[in-house]
Amino acid sequence: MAFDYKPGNTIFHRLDPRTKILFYIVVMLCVLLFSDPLFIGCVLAVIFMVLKISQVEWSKIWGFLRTVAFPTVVYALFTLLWGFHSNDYILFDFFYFPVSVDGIVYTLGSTIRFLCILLSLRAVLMVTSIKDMILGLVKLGMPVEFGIAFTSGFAYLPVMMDETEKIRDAQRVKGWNLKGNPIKRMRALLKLMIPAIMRGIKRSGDIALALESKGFGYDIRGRTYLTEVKFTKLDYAVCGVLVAAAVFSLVIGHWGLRIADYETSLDLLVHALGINR
Amino acid sequence: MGEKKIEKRRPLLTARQVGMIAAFGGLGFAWRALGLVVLIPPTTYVLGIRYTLLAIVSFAGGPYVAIASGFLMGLPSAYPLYDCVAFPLIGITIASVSKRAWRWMEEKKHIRAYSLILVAIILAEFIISAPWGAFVIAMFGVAPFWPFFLSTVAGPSIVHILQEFIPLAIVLRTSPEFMRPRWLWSGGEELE
Repeated sequence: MAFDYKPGNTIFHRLDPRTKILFYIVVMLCVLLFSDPLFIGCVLAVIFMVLKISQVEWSKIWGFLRTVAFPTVVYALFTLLWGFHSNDYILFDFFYFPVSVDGIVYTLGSTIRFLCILLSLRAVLMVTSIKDMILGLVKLGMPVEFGIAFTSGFAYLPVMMDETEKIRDAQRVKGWNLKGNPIKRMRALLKLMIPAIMRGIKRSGDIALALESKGFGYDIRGRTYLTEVKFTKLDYAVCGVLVAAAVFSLVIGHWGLRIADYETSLDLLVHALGINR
Repeated sequence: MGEKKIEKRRPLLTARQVGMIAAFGGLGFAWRALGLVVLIPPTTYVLGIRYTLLAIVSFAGGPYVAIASGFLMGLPSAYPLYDCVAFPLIGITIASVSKRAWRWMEEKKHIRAYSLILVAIILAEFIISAPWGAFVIAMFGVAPFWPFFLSTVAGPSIVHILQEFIPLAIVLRTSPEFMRPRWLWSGGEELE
């Protein structure tokens, strides 16, 4: 689950949420501009390094990777069979689809890229608390009302989870279970949906009443916060490194010198294996 | 020492709308986080309550509620980059027809009203959600556009359309007071 926040006092925990958002943006930029598995692999290594320094338990990362394993394989097959067309270095035909060395190299790059996209956001959310993240987004210009709505939504999460559990338990008493083929499971879910929706309608009224009674809407721009987020020297230093990384990726990436294109790994592999066109 | 100046402006969201976001967004988040979803084979899409909640809350709460609750519901997903954008877009599309549909319902033109809602949901799924998913995947070079797009519209999109339309139609009949779209494009809600 996202927002698997792990409290701590590591260097990444201490960073301003805006710096962490910049980290995510720079990772996205790098993986967008690179197609070489070696270069994208370096980005993945940086993400793992961040997770390691942040002392995130390996079991959590492993659990997440297992969750995304199936879609990763599906996407890799899509890319290998349909996404890459080359008449060079063809190895064999998979049914009617030619599988080539360059296709494999490109697919490897796109698979690592997919993991980077998923893991970078996960890494940011693992080292940033919800309230800090929302505060950071408000500081970046998100309307305050949205911040309040998100905070309220997250504050009500345990209540909502508890209610969902209660509905599930009540249905379990009547013999409900979420097993069987997808059709059976969909029908089983329907039995939970109706009470959940009705509870949601009632609960939204309760929350609105609670907000009104606490003066929601009074001087909404001038709200004060229990904790403040602010940029420190560390943030400026990390932002500097991130901007430099972004510029570097622009120079060597697809829009620049194209050093990080998949041909770099392909040439190395072709020379190493002595494959001819 | 002058008195503190208090900015007077129409709030972007009323307490009722924040309540909707918190309750429905939180519920969607909770269901996804508790794993109450069914994978739609052979795709990577899942069936859960989020699409249903999104349709209901967008109709009743308007575009800003759609954006906030869609974002909240999209976060626990394995692919927030897709969900956090697709959900708000679907919600805004549904919200954009809600006032017109409601007016027709009040004029007892129910078939016309429900048809409009259904068309909006179909458009949201086929023209916005599915292409967006395929675009994100293709932009990052994870998988090619067309196989991903076609595999989406052939299965998950149809399931999602049913999942959004049928419960929305039921809730419109059973809880009309909650569903009445009072929201304004400029933010907030009409005064009673």
